[in-house]
Amino acid sequence: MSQDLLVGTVKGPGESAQEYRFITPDNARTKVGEFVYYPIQVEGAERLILGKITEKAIVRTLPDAFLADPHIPPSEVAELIGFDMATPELYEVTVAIAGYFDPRFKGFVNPRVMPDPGVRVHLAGSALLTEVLSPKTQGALGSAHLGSLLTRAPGEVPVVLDVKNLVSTHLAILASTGSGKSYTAGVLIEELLRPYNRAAVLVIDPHGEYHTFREFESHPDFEQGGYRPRVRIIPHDQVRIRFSSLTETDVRSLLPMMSEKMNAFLGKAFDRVRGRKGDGHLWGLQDLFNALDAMRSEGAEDDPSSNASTIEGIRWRLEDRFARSRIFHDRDHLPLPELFSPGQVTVIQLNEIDQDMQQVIVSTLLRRINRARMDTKNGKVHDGETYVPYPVFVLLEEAHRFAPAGATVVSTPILKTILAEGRKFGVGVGLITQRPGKLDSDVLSQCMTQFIMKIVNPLDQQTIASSVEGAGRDLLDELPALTKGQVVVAGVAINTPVLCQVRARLTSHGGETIDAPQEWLDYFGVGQEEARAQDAAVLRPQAKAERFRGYSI
Amino acid sequence: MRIGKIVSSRSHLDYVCQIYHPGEIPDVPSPASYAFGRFVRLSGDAVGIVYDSQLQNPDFGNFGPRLSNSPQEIRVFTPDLIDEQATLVSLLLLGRLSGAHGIHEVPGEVIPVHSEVETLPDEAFVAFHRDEAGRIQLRYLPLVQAHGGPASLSLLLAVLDRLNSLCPEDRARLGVLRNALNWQRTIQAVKA
Repeated sequence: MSQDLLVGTVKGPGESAQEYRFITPDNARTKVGEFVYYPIQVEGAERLILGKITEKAIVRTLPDAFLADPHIPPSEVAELIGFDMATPELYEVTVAIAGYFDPRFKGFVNPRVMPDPGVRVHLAGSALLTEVLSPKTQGALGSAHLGSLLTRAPGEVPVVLDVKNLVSTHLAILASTGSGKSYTAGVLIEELLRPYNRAAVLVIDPHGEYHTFREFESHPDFEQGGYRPRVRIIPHDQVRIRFSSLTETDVRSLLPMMSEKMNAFLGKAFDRVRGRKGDGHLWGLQDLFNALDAMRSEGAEDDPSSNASTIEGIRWRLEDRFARSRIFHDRDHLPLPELFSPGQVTVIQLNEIDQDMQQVIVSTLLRRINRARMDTKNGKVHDGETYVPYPVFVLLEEAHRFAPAGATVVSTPILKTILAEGRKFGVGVGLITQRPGKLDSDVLSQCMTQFIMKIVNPLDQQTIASSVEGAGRDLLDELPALTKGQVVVAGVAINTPVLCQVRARLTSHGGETIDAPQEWLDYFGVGQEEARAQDAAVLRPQAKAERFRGYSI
Repeated sequence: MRIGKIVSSRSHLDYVCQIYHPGEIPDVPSPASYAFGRFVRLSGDAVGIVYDSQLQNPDFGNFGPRLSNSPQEIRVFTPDLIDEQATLVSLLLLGRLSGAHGIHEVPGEVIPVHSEVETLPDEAFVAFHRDEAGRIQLRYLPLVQAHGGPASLSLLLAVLDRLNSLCPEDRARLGVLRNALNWQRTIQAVKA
């Protein structure tokens, strides 16, 4: 403690009961987001009450008139009249009290004792912060090294998350586009696949940004003993959904303009197929057609053709949507043991698939894994396709597509179920979105660890303020000012909310912004125009052979 | 050039100088030599500034027998009458000269009565406004603002103008200060 830098003196309490203010001449070290402490006696022992700087205001400075000429430093004018202090400015700094770190509870305890005016305030040393901010040490079992504390030199205070809490109580990565969401997610996935975690991860990738994970397999940082992570990339044309895994709601969501009568017939057909085949048994589109055909004259014996047009209408819609789709299949699907395995990351690329189709795919997958984990945990299954004897983690990019605010889509209910109950069965979800305001607020509030990056939109900020418990007012004020790679981390995976600079990726980042000017320039590159001219050239018909002195020319 | 002598004081900093009359010294000081803002040296190395003036005429309001109202004629008609009229100027002590630089501070010693007051030539004026390192200084500014009365800002502006003309290399710095004081004197007064 004695080595920690003395930065100021307590002036008195702040606006709230959890704040105090101190006076300092040091502008450089008292940054917003920085950690300071004051010592007090609690139950006979000295405790360092840690707090985070939330606001800073200048309370004394040189007159404005001295700043009138930008060519003349104000200090020179001040010196002219005999004021030669090197730092004439005084700052009033507001600190939100976190408390002292109690290793028994692995958290901060606030003794609710305000510092007396005159108490000296120290800048928390990097060693102290490293010890108390992160619940885990770097490289330990169940740790995830996200980056380092933004207010300190890179690497000085590592920010290390607790993977157990991170994946079991769900996480949300919220940021404007281009702020580094997928980069941060990439760092987290890297950590989950490191030898000290070896997680079973599935990434739903609507933009095809995560193909670079293949580098995990050959990167030395991921290798230990016989362990080496496996990476499985499933491109959009290999995604298969077994028809029988769809619910009636799934099917209905993909059919356009269904009348009430059509919905009633479809529901009845579903019930019959299910009743006949039983839950968990294979059935296909043809079974549904058969069930529908059987209902053509039901309830209208006097006119056998009365239901025909409705049935035809449903059949036509089903055929149009499902029979021609490569995604839906009577037998094939993505087996869960192939999707989820410890030490494996599976990336399902959904680019080039319609959004409503993406919702059905995600809903089906989530439903299957949730059911599988419940059955496995409850001892109902001991082998086979639905036996998943390890916790899994699913990362959803563009999460607002799968649980939009103000509307219920097919994936919303299962997402809500997993977010509410998934912890018990070992199904963790990570949501990534650039529009928190467009994400269902219930869904967002269930994510107990938040990674919040630059957000300028006031509606999105408001959503975060109302849905994210861990994000304090002070941190939300920081959101518009954050730059790429800077993230506010709050929630159960860290001891107290921190501003973090995300570490460099070990593997390359697949979500780079397209360099439009360079690509336009390339359009006029050497040989490009000639190649285009050749491509556009009309093929001339070959001249007919002529005979000359008996030879064909 | 000698201009007068100390005859009174109102405080440790604020002295009254009586300007020499004709007959007291061979070279009678001209009004310009004890004008508002003139820097003076007194009691050796002490430096002060003329910030106020007062005329004394005990005969004012005395309607006794006179052969004339003109002082020149009175001397002729009543040569034994003591001339008690006086021009008094107020001096504010700003510091002292120490060789080639000035020390702007409240002087420790009291200036004795009858100490001679003489004007500070331009070289000494510039020297008083330089510190040991040769940089321009006006450390007495708060003192003048506190004790210089209602015209203190005008007094400081007069000093800055003189410094500006004598020290062109420091015009930029002095200009910022001059503008600040000028704004304070005029605009702030109007706003108030």
